[in-house]
Amino acid sequence: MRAPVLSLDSKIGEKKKGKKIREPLKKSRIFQCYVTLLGKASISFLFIFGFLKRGQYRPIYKLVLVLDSAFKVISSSFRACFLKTKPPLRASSSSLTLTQFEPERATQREREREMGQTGALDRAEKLRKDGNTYFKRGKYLAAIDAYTEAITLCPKVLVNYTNRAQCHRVLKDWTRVEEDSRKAIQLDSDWVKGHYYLGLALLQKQEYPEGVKELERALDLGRVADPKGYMVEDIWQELAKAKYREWEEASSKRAWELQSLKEACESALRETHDAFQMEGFLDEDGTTHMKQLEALGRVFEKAAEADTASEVPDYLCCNISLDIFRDPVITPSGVTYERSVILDHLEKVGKFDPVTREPVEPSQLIPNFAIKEAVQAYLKEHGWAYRTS
Amino acid sequence: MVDFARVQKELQECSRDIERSGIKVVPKSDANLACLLGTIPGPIGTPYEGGTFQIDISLPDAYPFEPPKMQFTTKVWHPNISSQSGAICLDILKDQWSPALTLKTALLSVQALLSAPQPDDPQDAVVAQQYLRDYQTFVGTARYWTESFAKSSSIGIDEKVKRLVEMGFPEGRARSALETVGGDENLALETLCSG
Repeated sequence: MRAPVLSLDSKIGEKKKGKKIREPLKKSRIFQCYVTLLGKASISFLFIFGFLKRGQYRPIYKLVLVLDSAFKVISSSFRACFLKTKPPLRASSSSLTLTQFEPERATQREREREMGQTGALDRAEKLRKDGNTYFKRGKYLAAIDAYTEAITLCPKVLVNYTNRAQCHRVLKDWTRVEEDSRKAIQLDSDWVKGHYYLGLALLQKQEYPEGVKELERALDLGRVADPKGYMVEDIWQELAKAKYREWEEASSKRAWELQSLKEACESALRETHDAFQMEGFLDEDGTTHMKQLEALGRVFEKAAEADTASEVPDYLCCNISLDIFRDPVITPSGVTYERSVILDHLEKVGKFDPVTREPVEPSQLIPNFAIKEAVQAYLKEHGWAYRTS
Repeated sequence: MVDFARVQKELQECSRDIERSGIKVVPKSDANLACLLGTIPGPIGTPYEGGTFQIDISLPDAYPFEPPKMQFTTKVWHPNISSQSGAICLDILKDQWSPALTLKTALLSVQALLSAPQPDDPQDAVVAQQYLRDYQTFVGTARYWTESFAKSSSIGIDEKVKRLVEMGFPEGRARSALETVGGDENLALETLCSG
């Protein structure tokens, strides 16, 4: 797509070389060039409208690029010709001036090469931004194209990988999500989004333990980076969902096991009861048998207790969110809160402890590892507490 | 955005010990948890005893980082509650709000306000004046208002007035007599006879 611009550039360059040594560039020639370009521009605009109507944004972007550079070329030559801002190239035909010119041209070429490198970065950055715009508009395929192009230009910019992974995620192409997030992690093993998307992809592939591990890593890293960020919340939601699903499967299996065991015990009790009856111990046995059955019921109820959803104890819940702790912090007054929530409070309501009203600064919040461990232990036993609203 | 997960939990918690506290909070409609209706019983040993008071609750977007907006929909005669609009003057519903408070604890505070009026920081100046100058009349009026507005089961005040009028007393006097004794028909009759 850049080809026409380059050729235009070189044409003008040739003209510069060819004519400028002898005489100044004819103004009429420049005008002619300008008019042709304008014609091309208007045709391109027609194309743009066509693409706009069909909702294809990618070709438009490319056309705009072409137009942009074309106008740069023409305006610079225009300036050179009419405003004479640059020293006249034609100074004289003597070899001296030419050699004087040579090193300058060489450095210019070098500069251009440098410009090419930073230009690639700039272009990649622009492509990334375009990709983001496409993503926001729901044009995921176009966004993927943009990110891919940006990656080709600058393979070391890891944002593009996770951004592309995000597109694949929306399109539910989990293999690609995994590929891209792994690449991002390769570039930076502490990249939150990389671990997050990899975790999601692994969960989709039913690789629960690995997926959960990745999400936990993402959560830890995310909390360090921005404890209040939306991403921490998103990661937690996904992690909780995965854990809850895991619990559901395991608990239904356990419930089924318990049920069959209970039935076996009951029938065994009945058999011994019947055997006693046969032998003639009728009087008291009726009540003992009933009592035994009741006791058995209690035992099994107790066994299923941990798997029965109820209420999380208050001491494992934040006083403000009323939800089970995830990242508990303690204030100087000794009250424990969920980190993101107390930070919100300190910012929005005031710098005081919500329960004791003692003054608190965000820097005074200290992680409460004991509660965190207690929560983890509780969640391990009571997987239902992962249920999110 | 209101933290609806928290509101949901608050409602559950509230309905769990409704027997003990008598405080009820229900959403006006299932679709919107930001508009709620609270109910508190009048505290025992006050002119509000026996009444059931309804409070309109609306949650601001920033809840629980902003206090809930509460307003009596039942008419109340109290120095810190507007007799016209039902607006409540209570510090924890204003600048003393803390996100560690809940709808239930806020309603408990409103209930406590009913038992301990603060006429020095009034919402309704007329009521506060009466409270300070003529406490007996205040108690009578408050009881009368409780009788007539906060008790749905008791016979309406109009009917009592009607009966006294039938006995031959002028309506205006009958009404004010009922008002001063707090809606008790027999006491009102005594006042009317002696007066």
